[in-house]
Amino acid sequence: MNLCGCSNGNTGSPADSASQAPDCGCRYPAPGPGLYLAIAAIPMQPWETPYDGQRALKQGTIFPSLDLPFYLTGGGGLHG
Amino acid sequence: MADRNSLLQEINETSFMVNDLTLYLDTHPEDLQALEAFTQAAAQRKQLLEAYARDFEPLTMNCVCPDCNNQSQSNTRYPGKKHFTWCDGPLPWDNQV
Repeated sequence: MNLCGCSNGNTGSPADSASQAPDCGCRYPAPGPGLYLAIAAIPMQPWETPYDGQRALKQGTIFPSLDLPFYLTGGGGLHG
Repeated sequence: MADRNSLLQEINETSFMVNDLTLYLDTHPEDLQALEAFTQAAAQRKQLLEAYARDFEPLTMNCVCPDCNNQSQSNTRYPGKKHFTWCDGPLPWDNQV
């Protein structure tokens, strides 16, 4: 079964995806070895002292515990 | 009179705070600390918007006040004349000011 629902039985490896029907790009990885579906369990967010306005806008969140490294650089105020 | 860009930057920062607090309060409507932070940030944002509208141009429709907007008479085609101040100020994408 492929996440995109097409009938091709490939395992999502590049070699397979190159050979299947032209209309199905199979861009989505297929569940298989090393790739399993999961259930997300998200705890209720606790209140915490927020960043000040300047830092919050630059970091993209007012909450320090949500300030995670998404590897996007740059950004900031009106003039960077 | 505050500098246009620094006041605008403050409005951006405060608006972001209000927005993020809104998202948090959506899921924590009884969090008193968050409510306090929201009340402060919303009041500050209102004050900043009114100050910007008084000195420059209204950013939101409820700040439009032909008698008290744009006292710096900047970026207006109707200096000294009573007019609809909503059309004053640089275009939002024109940040060469």
